Amino acid sequence: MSFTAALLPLTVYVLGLGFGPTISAPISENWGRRAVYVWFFLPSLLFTMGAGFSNTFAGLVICRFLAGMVGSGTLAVGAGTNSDLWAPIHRAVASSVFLMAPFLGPALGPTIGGYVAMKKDWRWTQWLILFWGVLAYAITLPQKETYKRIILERRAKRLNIQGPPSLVPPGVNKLKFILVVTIARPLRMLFTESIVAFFSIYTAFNFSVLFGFFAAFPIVFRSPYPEIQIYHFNTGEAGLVFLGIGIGVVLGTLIAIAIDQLIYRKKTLEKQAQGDFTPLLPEERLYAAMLGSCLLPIGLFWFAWSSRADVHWIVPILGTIPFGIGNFLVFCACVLYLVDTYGALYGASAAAANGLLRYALGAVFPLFTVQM
Amino acid sequence: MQGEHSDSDLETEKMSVPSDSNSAVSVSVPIAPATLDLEKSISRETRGSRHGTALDRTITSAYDWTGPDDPDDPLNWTLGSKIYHTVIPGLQAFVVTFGSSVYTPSKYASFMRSQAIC
Repeated sequence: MSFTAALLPLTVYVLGLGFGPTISAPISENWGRRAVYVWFFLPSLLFTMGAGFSNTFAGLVICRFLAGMVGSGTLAVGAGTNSDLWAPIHRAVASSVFLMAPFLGPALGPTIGGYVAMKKDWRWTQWLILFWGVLAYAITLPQKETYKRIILERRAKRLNIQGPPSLVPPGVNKLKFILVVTIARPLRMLFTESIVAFFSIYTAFNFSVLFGFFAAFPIVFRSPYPEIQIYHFNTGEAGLVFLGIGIGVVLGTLIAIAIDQLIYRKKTLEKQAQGDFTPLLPEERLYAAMLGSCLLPIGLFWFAWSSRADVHWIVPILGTIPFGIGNFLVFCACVLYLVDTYGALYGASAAAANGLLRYALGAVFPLFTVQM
Repeated sequence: MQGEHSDSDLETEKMSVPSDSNSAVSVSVPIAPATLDLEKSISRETRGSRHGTALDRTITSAYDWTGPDDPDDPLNWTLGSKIYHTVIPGLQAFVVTFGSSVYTPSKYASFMRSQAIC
């Protein structure tokens, strides 16, 4: 098996993640957000179990792809749950904490997975997902519905009165409408809206660099090609290298909250004090991205220039911290900016476009990182 | 689309409620509309006594929330309940993305094994 083929179970999973909004939007529109959390997460865990039991490479790849695709549903509705629960002025704190999770996940995966793969074998990495997954699922079950329209529809049914207006314009096929919002419109916005296009290209590039690290770190720290290897770590230690990015993500979350409290919240309160209760301009969300965009190249140059045998291994790892912070800040500002700019419905399409490009690029980048 | 509009209207209403901004409002805005202040004080009162009165009240409309104090509106849930419902997508997103990369370290082990066989 070639080195590139060995990466396939990673890349198909990430590719599957990009389909999130496409499959979860119709479900959450019809049956609410809770349905997505309850009925998408479970099959994803079952496919992960299938991947753990598979005896052929093809079976492994297929199970991993389906696990990623079904599991991505939960990634796409999280932002909606957030706006259900928190008023705009409090929302940034909640969404920073929520967005931390999908960034911390990839960083902590190899950290724990490295030791598991070293002491046991790769199947145990899948059992590890199951272990966390069952725990998360048990916590998920008692939740209530948060989606306004579904709550009102149930109330209408219970009291036998008129329900809320439908989001779907009358006379339009419901499925067709949802496909437009989740696939056709995101693709159109990706090509015709310069904000969506450039922001998506930027965050997708950052994301693909992150996933490129999954292939690049082993070359630097632990390589199947000993002649180009720089530091000699074992599998478990090479996984710990990702803690640098993890620390960066946590710091990035704290910085994002601080920037929100010091700038966005302060300006909102000042504006309200003057009797103006309209939300601030979307551009006010971008201060975090301004800081993040400076930290990204700093981290990358630091990592690349210091990865030498005569430099201590901690130096390049420390360089990944600014990268982790920058990646998180840019993405966080991007999501808030898109939703503020396009409103809830078009914002969802813009975010879907962003996710599609982000995970598609993130999936293919590791495949040619080694060759570079 | 209509739903979206009423949604954002509701949000701007909510934005006028933060309690720590009230002092600033009363100092610097002589022309603040009286209705806004009224609305604010009402919603603040009902927020405090949500458990006592709001649940007993008969609900007459399912077209939209009955007001900013509608007990079914997630914006009016208790802080603990809000945090719990925010944690759920976070936990699931963590598990799903954790699954993306947890596999990577093991691929080198399998790669080396296959090299050894060849």
